[in-house]
Amino acid sequence: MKTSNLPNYADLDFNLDFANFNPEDIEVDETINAVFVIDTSYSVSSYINDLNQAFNDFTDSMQSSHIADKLFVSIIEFSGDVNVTSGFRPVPSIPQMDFSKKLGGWTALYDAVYTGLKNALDYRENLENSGVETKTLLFIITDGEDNSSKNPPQKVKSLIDKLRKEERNAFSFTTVLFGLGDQANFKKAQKDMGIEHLAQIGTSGEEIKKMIGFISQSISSVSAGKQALAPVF
Amino acid sequence: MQVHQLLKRGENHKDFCEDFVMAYDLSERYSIYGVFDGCSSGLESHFASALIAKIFRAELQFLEPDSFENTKEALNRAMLHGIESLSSVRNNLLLETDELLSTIIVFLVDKIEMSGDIMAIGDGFISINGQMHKIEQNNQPDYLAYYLDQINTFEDYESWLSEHVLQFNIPQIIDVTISTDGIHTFQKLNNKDYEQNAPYPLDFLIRDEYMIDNKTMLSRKCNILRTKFGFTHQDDIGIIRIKNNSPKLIQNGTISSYFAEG
Repeated sequence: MKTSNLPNYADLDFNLDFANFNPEDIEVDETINAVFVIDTSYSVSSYINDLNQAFNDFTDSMQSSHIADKLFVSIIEFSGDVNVTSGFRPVPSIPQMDFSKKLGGWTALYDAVYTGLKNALDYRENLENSGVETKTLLFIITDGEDNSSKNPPQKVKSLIDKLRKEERNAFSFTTVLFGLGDQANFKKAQKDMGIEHLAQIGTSGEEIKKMIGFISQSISSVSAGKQALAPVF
Repeated sequence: MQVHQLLKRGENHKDFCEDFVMAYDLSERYSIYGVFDGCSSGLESHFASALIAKIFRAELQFLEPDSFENTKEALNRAMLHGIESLSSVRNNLLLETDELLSTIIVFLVDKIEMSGDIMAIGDGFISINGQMHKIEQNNQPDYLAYYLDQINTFEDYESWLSEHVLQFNIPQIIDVTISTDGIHTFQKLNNKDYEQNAPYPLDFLIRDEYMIDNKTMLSRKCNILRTKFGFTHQDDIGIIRIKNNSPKLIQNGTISSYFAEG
């Protein structure tokens, strides 16, 4: 498989390689691009097994669904560092995940969201240039406030604002912040980054399952030509 | 052999796409392709184009093209039977003439010989190995439905065939396209946000080789024309493009010489 032209991240020094799927090898004319930005700081240890289970159930069910050929998934894990676990790949090629492998001490939330978002937008542009229409959903899953990013949240916001100014993007781009637990001011993070929806949920296995269930439904809804669902928990 | 197909609703049609595209393998050897353009001033013309396509396909399935000497003979016989079936369906469903108005371009392909025959009733567009045929009827297509009551004998049929139907024999398929007339309705939005060095839509869709190995080539090219260059098609579009990718053909240089001459 070939890699696409990578965007210029020299100024951020993230040392990333997205290895997105080559647009010219895609055999559909519309894709759903789902980005998962997942917090793997130490504080998530208490629910990481539930998250692994729910996420892997999600990929299992999507891999056998009717939208498997048009669902592309990118995974960003972050603690103090931002790790691009996967650039955009067709969901059938997403392996079973274990988010406990890269647990770390800090929370570079803004850097991680910026990284995932910038790649999503660059890839979206590449797809459009090769005739593939794209709907993008960005899901951020975190239990804490940012404490180590090099980038301010406004950098994320300005990317989202710029995108929203174009009419054709209005219904094809959705961002959701899932705030797990009650240890952080998620509303402020949402507002500062310009994230469209905020869902605050608990950290029990049941609630994590519910969150992933919502993500599945949201992807199916977008695939059927409807708007992404607003999270209600 | 690569078969690309596209069916898209035009900007001017709010509810239905009135065109229809048919692609069907009849046997190991034969395939039938067709594009149908329902009349916008007719009644529920999306139904007319789909109905005619399915009747015609069924007739070819019953007839078994392998039992005929050539594709032209099989096509002519299928059309004769198709007319009988269409008349019968019209009577059974109490349909009026303006509920059956659709142009017809059908292409029967012999996949072993890589040859075929095309039959066109009404307007549309055909490109045979670089030679383009715009079938223009001043926006008043000569629909088959007008003649259903007049074709009662084999002689009537032969007379209608010679006077109202265009037929093309293709001894060797290299790159052949059949299309409804929507392909001529691309309009460029006057907006400086779009790139200016735009390709000519017709060439881009039916001659250009970009993404030729990708089964969504036509649909993606339509998207590129819209999002990058600001082209939208006002009328519905139905296109079938068949490209012969036989290694023998490429070795002989036939494809490159065709494009140089084209």
